Amino acid sequence: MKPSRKAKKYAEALLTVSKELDCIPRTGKSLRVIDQLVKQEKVFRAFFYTQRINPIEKVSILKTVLGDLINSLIYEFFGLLAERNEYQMLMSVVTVYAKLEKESLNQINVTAYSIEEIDQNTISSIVKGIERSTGKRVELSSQTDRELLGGLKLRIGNTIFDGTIANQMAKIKKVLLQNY
Amino acid sequence: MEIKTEEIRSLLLKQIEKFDVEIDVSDVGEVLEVGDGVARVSGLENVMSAELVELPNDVFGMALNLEEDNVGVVLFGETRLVREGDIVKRTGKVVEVGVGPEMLGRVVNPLGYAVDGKGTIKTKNTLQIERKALGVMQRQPVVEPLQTGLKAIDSMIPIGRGQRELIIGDRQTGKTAIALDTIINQKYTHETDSPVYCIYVAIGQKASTVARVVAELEAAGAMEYTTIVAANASDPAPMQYIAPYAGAAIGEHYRDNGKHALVIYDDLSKHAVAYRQLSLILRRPPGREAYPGDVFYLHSRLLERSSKLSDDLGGGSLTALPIIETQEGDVAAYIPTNVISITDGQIYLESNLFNSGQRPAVDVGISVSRVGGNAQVKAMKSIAGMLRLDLAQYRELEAFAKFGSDLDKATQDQLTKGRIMMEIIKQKQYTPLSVEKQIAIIFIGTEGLLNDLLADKVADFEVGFLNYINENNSNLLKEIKDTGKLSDDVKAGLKKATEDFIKIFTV
Repeated sequence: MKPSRKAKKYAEALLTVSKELDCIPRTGKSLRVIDQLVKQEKVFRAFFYTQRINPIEKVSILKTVLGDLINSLIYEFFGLLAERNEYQMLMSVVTVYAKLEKESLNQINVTAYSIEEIDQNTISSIVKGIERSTGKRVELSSQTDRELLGGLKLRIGNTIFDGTIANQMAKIKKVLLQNY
Repeated sequence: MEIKTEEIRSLLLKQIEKFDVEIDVSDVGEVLEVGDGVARVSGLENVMSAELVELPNDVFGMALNLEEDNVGVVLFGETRLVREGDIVKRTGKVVEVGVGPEMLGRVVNPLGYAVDGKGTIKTKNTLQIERKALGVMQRQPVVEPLQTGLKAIDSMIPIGRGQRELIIGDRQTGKTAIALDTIINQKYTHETDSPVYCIYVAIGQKASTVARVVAELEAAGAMEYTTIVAANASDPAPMQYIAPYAGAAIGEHYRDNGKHALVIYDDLSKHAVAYRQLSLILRRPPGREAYPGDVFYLHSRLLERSSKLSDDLGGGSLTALPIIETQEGDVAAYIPTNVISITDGQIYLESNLFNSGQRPAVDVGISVSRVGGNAQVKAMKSIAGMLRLDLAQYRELEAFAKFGSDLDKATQDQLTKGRIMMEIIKQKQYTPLSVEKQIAIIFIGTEGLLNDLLADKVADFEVGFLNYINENNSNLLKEIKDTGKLSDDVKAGLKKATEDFIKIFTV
């Protein structure tokens, strides 16, 4: 089985069990904590990926260090990964789980790009508008980009709604180049 | 180039007027990795196979590998302009190329953009480069000849409109020369009611070679009805991969509108190499000679697009002359055998013949045309059989030629006639002959009227004789041209003219 397909299977299984135990957000949060620690803490990363420590001991050390910060389900999952020597797959599982979690909670991530910070009123009206048209809960984050020249660009998943002046200028350039 | 400020102003105003109503919605993905002309892109969930996608810095690509979690995109621009994390936009269009008369006289890249510095090409129509070949019911057998202007080919390996005839041979044996002569010879068709438009597709060739081809066609006045699609050696492999399909699409426009087109793919060996490069980078499994498993389909779907349409569909045609370069005469290699089996015959060029001064260096013994005979002019057909026989006998007896006078008279006569016929089928480059002139000279050769000439005088005799009958017996040529037959009167007239001219020539 391809690694990506395996990660998807693991993430789906985690989601199903979390659903039964009614702890979908907690599982997601636990995975994000591990993800953050692996990415940011050199020592933790070395400990996490080493094969010199016995898998059962590794899980028990993790339990002692992280305690209740992590869902008990995740400790069991670590045990499974350690047994199969598939720790490397964890990062892919985290990414896929985050996607599945959003789907199951009927949530979408939206990023808004503008030339300067968007005020709260505008943000809430954008959120309301998108929630109305998609019927999903929106988590909006905003970013500034001076190159847009004006207007607004929204990215919802893999779809971009571009109403910026930079885009209009690019179109004008294309039309002019086509004619000359 | 003249810039019209008024026009620019109106274009700008039009765009500004539309400003607040237009919001672009596009499906996007992100570049995961890029290298060797291929990018792996995540996202792009609904992308179609062979869809054109847009990357930053005016780089375009084509989605080829649609996998579970990413898309393999081949890039038509410079790889170094694409970076990890770049946004890739869908265009919703399968790769297209501009088609129509606006393309004539132009040199374009495989996407249809001008590369000859003569300004943008504004075509009214576009066609998808990958199109399905027509079915059986939409076709009819090849019935009209496509004259190459070369005696060796038009007489013994005739090509019909809608046929696929392979030109195969080692490097430096005159493959491109035959293709160019054929293009140049189509000039006469533009004075008739069924002109042949030409497309020359250069794949993986040096830019200087393409420039030379353009210059030669221009000098011969053939660029007026020709389009050159150039994917040079310095262009990325994806460009070389799509080039012949773009050429076929340009030709299909003429065919589908009841006209005739000729497309030359120079050459498909380099095309297969470009496709092998792409496939290996896309991690498709390699097969024989490291070519991917679908390399046969690569060429069969391209060449199958050449066809003669039924009368209901206008009767247009697309003739293809693919070129294959062999290594040390090895026609049993993978790509040559594939293309030989796809095409309706092959013109085989021999290095030894070329080096011995035979031009074009066609080995008439193993060259064939499987369907062209039906389309051949009747007069030519009636003399071609004798020519083929004479040459076959000559080849068999050639080994004995070194015995000289020890041979009996019949064998010596046969050898002399064969030598004369070999001289007759020689032809200089860029001097295509009309079919009636070819018939006249081959007829007098097969009749043995030139057997008293020295072999090295045949070329001079031919030039003089054709001028002579053009001035004194033009009615003979006219009758062959009009009727397409060699009547007894014409035969007698040609014999008489030969006898008369030999007297003048030998003085």
